[in-house]
Amino acid sequence: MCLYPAQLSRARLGNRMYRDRVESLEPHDLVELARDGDRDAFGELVRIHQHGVYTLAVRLVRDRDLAADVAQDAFVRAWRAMPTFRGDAKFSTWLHRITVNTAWTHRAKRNRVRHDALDTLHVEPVSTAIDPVRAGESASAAPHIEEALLDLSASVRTVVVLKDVYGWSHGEIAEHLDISVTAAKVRLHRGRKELRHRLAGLREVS
Amino acid sequence: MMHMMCRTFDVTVSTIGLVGVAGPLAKHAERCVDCRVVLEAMLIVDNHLDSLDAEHYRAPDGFQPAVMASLGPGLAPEHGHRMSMKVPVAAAVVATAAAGTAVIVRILRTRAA
Repeated sequence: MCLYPAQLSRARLGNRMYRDRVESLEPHDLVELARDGDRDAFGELVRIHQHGVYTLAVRLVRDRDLAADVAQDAFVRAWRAMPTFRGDAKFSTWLHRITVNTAWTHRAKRNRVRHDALDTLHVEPVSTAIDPVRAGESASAAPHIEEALLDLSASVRTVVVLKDVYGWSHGEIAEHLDISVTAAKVRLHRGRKELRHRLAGLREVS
Repeated sequence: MMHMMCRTFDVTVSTIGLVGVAGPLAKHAERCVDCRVVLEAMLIVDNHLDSLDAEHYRAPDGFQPAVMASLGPGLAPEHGHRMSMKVPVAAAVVATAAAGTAVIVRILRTRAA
């Protein structure tokens, strides 16, 4: 039987010691081990990226329960696809792509069963801190941007989130959402305009 | 009715972003109050979106163990390249066997003749 180096180390160190060692590894080494089928390494990657993937999932699907399902499914898909990860992109970027595809699948499934219940959203922000350099006038509306973003329609929100928050190109967005580049641009235009109006509204209220 | 330049400005900042506001558009924004308002609002939107925390929401408690449990004992990464070798190897074995059989049949026929 052929043993991977990681498994040989596990055999030598014992499970607990091996797990401790895995926790101290650099992300790059964790990815390498996980690619060779090391569960502990993958578990550590899940621990590191869980909030990031979950945050993206919430921003894409709004509903927290659904977002948890999406995030979990995304990690399962990532585990299965680990050998195909070649390191061309950052691991987190790769995970985000899988999350977007998973969210799209889940949303389509759920839409067949029932429409999104707008009142099911309960958000628990970890932090609302913004870069102090960007503080000033924009700071007053900072707590509202996440809310305003989530209030956009799903198709528009997805494009705005991927373009403006995660820095995807129009081409990447079009490819992953199976829409044309023009459609992506139109949705981005609508989304930014709507956000602009919402924030302008907030300023008038305050 | 919206001025042509204002319309161009509006579409540019909404699709390309603030990077697109240059040359004639930038000059136009300096003169046009409406477009300046749009520009300022866009700056605020951009700053907000840029400042959004990548880990704004916290995954539910027990998320990581749940993921690991859902991998299941039998679920392992799919080594596509290893699976894909099975077909070519099987095809090579069949081809070799067929060629061997053909050679043997030919030898036997030659001997029989």
